[in-house]
Amino acid sequence: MRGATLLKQGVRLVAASCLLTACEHPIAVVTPHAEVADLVFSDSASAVVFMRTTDNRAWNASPLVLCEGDTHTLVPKPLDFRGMPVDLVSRRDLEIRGESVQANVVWEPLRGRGWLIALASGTTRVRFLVWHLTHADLVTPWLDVQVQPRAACTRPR
Amino acid sequence: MASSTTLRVAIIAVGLVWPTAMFGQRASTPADTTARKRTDRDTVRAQQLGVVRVTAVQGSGVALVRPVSALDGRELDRRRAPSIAATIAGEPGVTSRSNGPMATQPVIRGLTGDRVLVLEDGQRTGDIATTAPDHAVTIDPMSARRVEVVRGPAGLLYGSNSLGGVVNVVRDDVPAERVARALSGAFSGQGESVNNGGAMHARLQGGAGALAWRTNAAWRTAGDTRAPNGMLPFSDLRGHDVGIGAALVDVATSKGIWRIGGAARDVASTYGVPGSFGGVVLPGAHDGGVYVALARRSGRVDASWRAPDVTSARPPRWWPRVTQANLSSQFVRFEQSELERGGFVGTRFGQLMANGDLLVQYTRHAGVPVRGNMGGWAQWRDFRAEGSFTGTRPGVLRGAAAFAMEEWELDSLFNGRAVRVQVGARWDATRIVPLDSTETALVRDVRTRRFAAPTGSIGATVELMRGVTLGTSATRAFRAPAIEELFSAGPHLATYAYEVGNPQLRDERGLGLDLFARLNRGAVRGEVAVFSTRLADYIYQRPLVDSLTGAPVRDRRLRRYNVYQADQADARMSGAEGRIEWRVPALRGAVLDATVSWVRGEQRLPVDMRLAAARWAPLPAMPPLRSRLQLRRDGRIWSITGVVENAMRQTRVPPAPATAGATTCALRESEAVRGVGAPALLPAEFCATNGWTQVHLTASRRWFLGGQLHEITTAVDNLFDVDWRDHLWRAKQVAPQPGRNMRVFYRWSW
Repeated sequence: MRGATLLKQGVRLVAASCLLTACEHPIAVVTPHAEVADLVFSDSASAVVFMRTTDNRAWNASPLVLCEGDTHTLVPKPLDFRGMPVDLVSRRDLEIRGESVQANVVWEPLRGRGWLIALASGTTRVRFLVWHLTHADLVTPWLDVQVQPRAACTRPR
Repeated sequence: MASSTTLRVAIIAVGLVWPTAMFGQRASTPADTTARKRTDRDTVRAQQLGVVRVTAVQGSGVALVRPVSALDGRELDRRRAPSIAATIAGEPGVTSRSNGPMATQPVIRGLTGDRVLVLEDGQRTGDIATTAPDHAVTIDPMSARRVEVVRGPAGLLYGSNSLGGVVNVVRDDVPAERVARALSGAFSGQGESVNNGGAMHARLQGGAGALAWRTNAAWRTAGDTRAPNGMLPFSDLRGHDVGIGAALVDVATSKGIWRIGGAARDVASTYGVPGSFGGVVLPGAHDGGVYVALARRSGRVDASWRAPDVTSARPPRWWPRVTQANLSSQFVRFEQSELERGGFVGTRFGQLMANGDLLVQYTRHAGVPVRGNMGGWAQWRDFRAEGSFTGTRPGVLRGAAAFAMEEWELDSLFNGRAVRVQVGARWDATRIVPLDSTETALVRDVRTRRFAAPTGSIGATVELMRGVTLGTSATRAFRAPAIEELFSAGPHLATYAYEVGNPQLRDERGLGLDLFARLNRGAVRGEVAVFSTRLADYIYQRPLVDSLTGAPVRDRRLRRYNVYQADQADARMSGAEGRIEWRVPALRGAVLDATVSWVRGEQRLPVDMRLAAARWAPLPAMPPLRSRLQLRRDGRIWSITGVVENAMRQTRVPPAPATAGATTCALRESEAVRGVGAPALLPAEFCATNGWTQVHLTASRRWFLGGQLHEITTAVDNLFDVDWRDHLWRAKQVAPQPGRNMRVFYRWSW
């Protein structure tokens, strides 16, 4: 008798679990659609536009010339399709990631800004991704970067 | 969210528990026997008229004024393919749109996607097969007992997604008849050489008294498909389809005869979507291929009631007397992931769907006998998407409809000649609520949309002479835009496209006219139909081209995909299809079976594309003229079939845009790697497709051993290994279709 009761309770539990599993939505949370149309980098010191994409087709400062050992602090600002900036500080679901073809230049993301670090001389190409939680929301065109040897570098640091 | 889930669970639980508690098992009564006889009579009548009984609306006579066809028995065994669409391709007016062996969709009279409704035992499948060409219909053909096709607008009973027609796969998951044997079953297996594939299916059924139950399971696996010139990468597949159902059938009470039952089904498959061949990658396609993994779980509850002993009841009067009522409801949980190389989830779709319908059949007498149907239908669908670069917006769709249809038997007014008139009306309403109304550069004004429209049809059949029936029908149909057509804005990896919706879309409205003749006279039987359909605001995916250079527009964010935007234009379609079977006496009863399908679709050009001479241009992706000639001899033991299938060259494509640079329809490896300076590859919609002719051979043999039936079928498809392309596939410029295929099919029934 007790076995039968236990069996009934077990069947009910399994049936209830199956029903709940079947009715649970596969995608429980709706993530708002985010679309970034362009990416602007302003200089951390002067707050002027350092370089930007135009219609996400090309960079206005290509090639970018850096000096070996330079660490350039950049403030990234994604723009939406209206040209309005998307606030990276309040939108914690967005971040800027960087990719370099060669390892002589790396991107170090910080909160609301980032470092473009020229480790060694040479040429490379970098691109930036506006990363939205699980995926890239914007992939910029490749940006040609030239890193001059420290000795040959004429730019003031 | 939690409360709505709890509510749905409660509704389903009540639906499952309440009816079984309500009805007990009763012995068969005279009323019960009479009703069964009536069902048998209906079946015989349907067969005599060449009418297909569509499970969803048994006895409604929907097929009376619509051209229909059906596949079952040996013919179905001969044609079983990895997908339902490929299985029925070649039926009159039917072809398939391929996107790989698994992701094929039925095309009826040139219409596909959300305009062709695929039903499973009369209910919607609840998958997202209609939303994109890479999505598969989640029904394994191995588990099908019968496949029925209704051609032309059939929205009166089936709803607003059947402008092109309806495909109903019959499995009888919820048993409809009592089972005499306590236990019986069948096992079948299939192997094929073109992809080293195998499939198995097993079915068990039984019953005791009023209780009937049925369970079946299908399993399938296949490797990459072999084309005449090489292997088609990323075309492998595997999956399973398992179902179980039970019902209390023909339970007689003083109030009528009842049936109540339920079924559950679990379907899962993983398949590749090819986008490259011979080292050439279609622009926008993944060189590493895209795999789609889907899973569908569904549960349904069916109940029906029949009036007791209809033959002894008083004669029907003007006011309707209800003879039967059917109630059906189901709940579906669907999940699909599109996987990039390395198993990375590119896009993930999830959907919950619940729907239910009530159909009441009645008879009355308005000077002449009248049979009628009326009912209602409601649907709720919660669709969501997530993943990398996902452009498909989440949304909730709610739809409801009410309809009524009557069939008037005018025989007494025409000296006993069988004359039937069928009239019907329907009202549909749909509300689509976006769950994310964020605007983007390409999609603005994302908002809730409501659509509602009355539709209707009128048709008639006249038996001109014994075995010769002429029929006609005129139908006004309606279709609300799909969620994806309204709100999408992003790349769709498996369709090689960046899909852009249009929140301003209006509903599609169609007006169709059909004329058909049915012949069943002596050694000849068949059906021939001509049709014409006008579609106002036909929704189509327009490939965007640069207004200055004429080159295909690529997406701004990734510069990888051709951009397609949902657009509308008036369209008109006309065509003819027919099938004639002639039992040739000189060939010892062999049957010559000829099928021809032709459709011509045109759209009114947008103002900026309008040419001086032509205001209408061909619609993209219209199937070419197809014909199929089959010679078969079905004996008690042996069955032998030879088929010659032909598709003409399709040159009726939209005019290619004027371009500044060179364009091409053929992508070669050298051009693909040359990059800058190479001629721009035109989207497939602008490109013609060569014709082809294939030969298929089939032979089958039956054995009866100890009361058990064994049957083995061997077939060779595409005997001469012809290189052929599917005109409707966006990857046709790169990827060919399967080459020669040897198939072996075995069935054991006991």
